[in-house]
Amino acid sequence: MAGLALLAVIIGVVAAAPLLARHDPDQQNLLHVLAGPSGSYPLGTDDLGRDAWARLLFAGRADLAIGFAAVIAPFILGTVLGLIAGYLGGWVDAVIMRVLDIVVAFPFYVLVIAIVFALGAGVGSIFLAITAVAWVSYARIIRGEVLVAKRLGYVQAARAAGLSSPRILLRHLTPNVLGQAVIYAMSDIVLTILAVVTLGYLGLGVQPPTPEWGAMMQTGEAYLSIHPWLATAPGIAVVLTGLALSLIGDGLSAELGSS
Amino acid sequence: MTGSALLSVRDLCVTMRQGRAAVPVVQDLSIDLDTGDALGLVGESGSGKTTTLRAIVRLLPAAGRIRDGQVMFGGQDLARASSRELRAIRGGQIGVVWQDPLAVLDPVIGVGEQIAETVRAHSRASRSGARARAQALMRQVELPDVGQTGRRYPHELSGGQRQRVVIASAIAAGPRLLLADEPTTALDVTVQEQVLMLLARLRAELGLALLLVTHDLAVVAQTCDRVAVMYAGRIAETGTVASVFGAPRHHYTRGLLRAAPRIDRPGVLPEGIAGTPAASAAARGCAFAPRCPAADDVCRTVTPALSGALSGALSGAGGHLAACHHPGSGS
Repeated sequence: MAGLALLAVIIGVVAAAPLLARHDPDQQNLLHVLAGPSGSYPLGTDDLGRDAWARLLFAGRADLAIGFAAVIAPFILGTVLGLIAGYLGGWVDAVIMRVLDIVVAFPFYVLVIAIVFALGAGVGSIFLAITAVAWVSYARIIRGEVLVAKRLGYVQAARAAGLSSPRILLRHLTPNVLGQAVIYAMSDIVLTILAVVTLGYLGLGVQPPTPEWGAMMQTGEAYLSIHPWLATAPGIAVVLTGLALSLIGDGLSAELGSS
Repeated sequence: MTGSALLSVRDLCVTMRQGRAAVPVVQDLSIDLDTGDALGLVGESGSGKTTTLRAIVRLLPAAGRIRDGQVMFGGQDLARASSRELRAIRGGQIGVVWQDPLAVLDPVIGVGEQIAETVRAHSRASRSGARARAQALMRQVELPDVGQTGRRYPHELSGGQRQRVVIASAIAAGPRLLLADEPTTALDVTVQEQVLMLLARLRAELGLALLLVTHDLAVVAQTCDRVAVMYAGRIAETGTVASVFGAPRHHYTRGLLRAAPRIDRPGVLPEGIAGTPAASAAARGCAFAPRCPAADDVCRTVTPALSGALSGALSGAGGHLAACHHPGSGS
């Protein structure tokens, strides 16, 4: 509940960004760089004279939107492959699981960064890279659930009733195994947003001048000793967002996980 | 036994893979079932009765395999049928009632829809036609307030109601044969009685043949005309319920009957059979020999064949057969 409330506040603030910020986040003012906090600029200005508060809010839009969206594609891809592998078994299962093993063999960030680097920085590359790497968790979870469910009475009974395999798979297995993947997706959003922020920090993410938390931390880092809020404010935003989503994930697994 | 039985299982052998070995769990099993017949398959856990039922519709667990034999049904050998042919038979010609109704119903779909699904799998019924048929079936199995009950999920129904839903699904496509695997074991005693009466009524109304697998001799006595007693993957004794239970010829059957509590003989305590059941069909000799009071060297070396007795003429068309070298002796 606390997580839900916190996330609601974060989303509310980010959604209301145009109302809460007094300046255009991309508007440079080179006569007014690195100003301290003031009434007009609550967090001061950055090295190009842009309103740091406005950039913080608009950056949240980019990070949250990309983070949520980038969970959906691996969720679908992993679920479909996990269902197929678990239900069909045999060589199909073996092929999917070997590909999965290869992906898992690389550390998450190494592979994501390598793929983004190869494709060129940008939002599209982030989507592709995260999808190509993150599906494995969903596929594993779903495959395991299917292997268990396959032996359960209702799947046996559906076969005894003469239902076709696609029908059993879609109508009976999928709704019953999806719960675990949904719970995992909640915690996966945290990882995905972190990945987006990390890529931004490395300069591989959302391209300037569009504001983004990771990129803001990276530019703010240079002025850490004189204007510490430039780097810490987006950092705190990331921590709060991660905390909210983690709490929601825990709450969900406590609610649904027991069944 | 007429020439063309509805279901005719011939010399069925089923093995289960255990590590590298294939352990025989059903051996040389033959069963005949005519239209409208009711045969009870009894035995203790692990005797192969459920495996036999599963083998008939080819729903053995992954480790199981039909190694030999025929399962003739409607002129077709199910042991060699393609998966497409099997799909039409399962649910269509042969309905199955499983042991645990909570486990065999999908927890996330309303029960009415689950019945309608079986209807649609075996007919060209429209969505609404299937729903109407499902409601008629639910009335037929005496479920209350079918409109509302149909929208409920399995966990919202009582155990007896769930089993009625399972039975409704099993008869949804108008099968000729019903296989029932311990249909009353998961139920309360009072509910058991109602479900057995329902099965008996449906059998009479629909002219169904019934193969009932159970460990409960009372259930067989109440529901079936004929009985086959299984031990360690083989049929030990078979015949009409009256002759097998009235004058058992195999020592295992005698032991089973002594082990069943009798309400008509108060004060007589059930008596166990000494020893532990054989895990699988013996390579040679009678599998029951280690536990049998009448066993001798012949029993330990020669596998007894099912054979008729002197009283064969009395036991009628069903034929009272026992696989025992010394059917007369013993208590």
